[in-house]
Amino acid sequence: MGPDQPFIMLDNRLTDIGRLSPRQLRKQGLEWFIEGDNHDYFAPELLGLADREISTFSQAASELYERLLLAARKVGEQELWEAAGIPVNAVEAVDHSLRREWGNHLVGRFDFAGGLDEVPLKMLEFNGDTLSLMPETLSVQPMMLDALPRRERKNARQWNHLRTGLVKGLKQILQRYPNRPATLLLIGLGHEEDWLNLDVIEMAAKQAGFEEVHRAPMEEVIFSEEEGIFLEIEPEEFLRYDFVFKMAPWEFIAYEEPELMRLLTQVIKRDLCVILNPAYSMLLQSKALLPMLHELGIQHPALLKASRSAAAFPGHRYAEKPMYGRTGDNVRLFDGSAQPIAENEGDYGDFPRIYQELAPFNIDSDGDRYQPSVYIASGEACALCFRRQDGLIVDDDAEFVGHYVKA
Amino acid sequence: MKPKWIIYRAIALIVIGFNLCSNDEPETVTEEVSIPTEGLITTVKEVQRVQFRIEDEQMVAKYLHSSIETFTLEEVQLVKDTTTTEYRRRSALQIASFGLMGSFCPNSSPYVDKNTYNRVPDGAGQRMKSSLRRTTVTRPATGKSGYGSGSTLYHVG
Repeated sequence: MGPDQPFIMLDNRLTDIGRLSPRQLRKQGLEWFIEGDNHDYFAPELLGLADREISTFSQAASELYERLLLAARKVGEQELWEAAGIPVNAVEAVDHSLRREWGNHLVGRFDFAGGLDEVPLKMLEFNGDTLSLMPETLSVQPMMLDALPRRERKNARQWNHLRTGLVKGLKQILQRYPNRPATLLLIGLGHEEDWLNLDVIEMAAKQAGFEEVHRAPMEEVIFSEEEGIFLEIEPEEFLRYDFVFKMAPWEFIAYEEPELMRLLTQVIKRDLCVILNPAYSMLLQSKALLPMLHELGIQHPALLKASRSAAAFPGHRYAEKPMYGRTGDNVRLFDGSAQPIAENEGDYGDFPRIYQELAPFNIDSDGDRYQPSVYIASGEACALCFRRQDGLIVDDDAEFVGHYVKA
Repeated sequence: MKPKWIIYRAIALIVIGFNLCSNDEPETVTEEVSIPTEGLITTVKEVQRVQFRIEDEQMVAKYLHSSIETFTLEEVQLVKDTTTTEYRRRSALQIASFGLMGSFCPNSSPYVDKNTYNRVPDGAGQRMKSSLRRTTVTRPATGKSGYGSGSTLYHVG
């Protein structure tokens, strides 16, 4: 990205594995990922890494996660809600959650730039509330590993403990609430990709000891500020859930469904249901937390300079991102001139912006850039995957690239 | 009455006892008894004659001379009205019930060894208790639904 982009190619790390067959994916119920325009979503190569590189990713993610949690606590202690991008109608829930639900954060995913071949590892953002890529990482990556040529496959492995991390985290949550029935409702907004990600949570929840695990689109779920969260499981027969995992962002609820935000605030304050990820995840998700890290005295080599004002970058070289943007929507990149060198449309245009130092990416000889993602579950870094993009902004068009650790 | 019916009755009473102990139910409940999915099977081992210790969380009685007998709560519920049983078998089920019900068992003494006791997760007894009953209710009086149907910000990251 820009004149400082080091031209160290990743090509010699790539091993051809061919395309996964639709039949393989269909067996696992994952064919959706390659339907229609997405037929080439899974890259036909695997990226080879060394153990020490995995350690670099793992250590950085663990340390950054601790720092984000520390920042979230400080925001709460100092009541810096507005600066952290917490909407007024969510403050009560986030505040309560910080004080009473600390430790309930189940899963998140860091997106990085760099990390390989002398390109410094830099954190782009943390998907701390809702996240995608879980089924690809957990289920498709191992299929890709199996497709490695025999010579490379021998003793090759992946850093892919997402399921273990989720099970551990969910067990810890059950142990934290021993008197509650282990009933879990998975809530989505109706999109196929969300259900596929919720499949991963469901699998882990059952392994962790949840006895009733159901799923429903949000519009079918009954929310009561006095009684809790319910689903009609048979005609006129309703089950109350003590645990909910939602694949609906907190900020979506706060901005788009303010009445629901009010109800959920009462639900968690009255301890009627444990909602995952908890409301304080909104702070972890908010990109407004990034400029605050430095202001709060929190530092790490993988942190990029960030600001609420473009004026903090006199050379006019920065990434402009919406506070709650996702999948590269409404991102603009500036490289010294008033016109952006890259720009994405999207649904997040109304959110305030944050400005972040540009980060160099690892690239291949086609100029595609590679974005590593590291998962955090049960408070620990546990899995890795990559996406690659033939443009400057990694977005929904990116390919999923699996990895293997060389023996 | 056959000896094993008394064993079943004893376990049934324990199950019913837990139902009665619960004090957090909404007023408008209908109950459906479900087969528990956790802690159902406790393996007990006869370490001396008529002295049993929990070996694992499965309700399988292993007797001194290698015979094995398996009991389920479903069987227990089917035969709860019977009144006699063999003392040895009753002892096995009694010790098994300590493991199953968790909260009755604050220490490791009923277990074969401390490692086995430690393998039982915290709160297992409480979760077992809850798994015995799927409590469904009539329509919540104050609930509302229909949220999220007009979502425009649908990306999850």
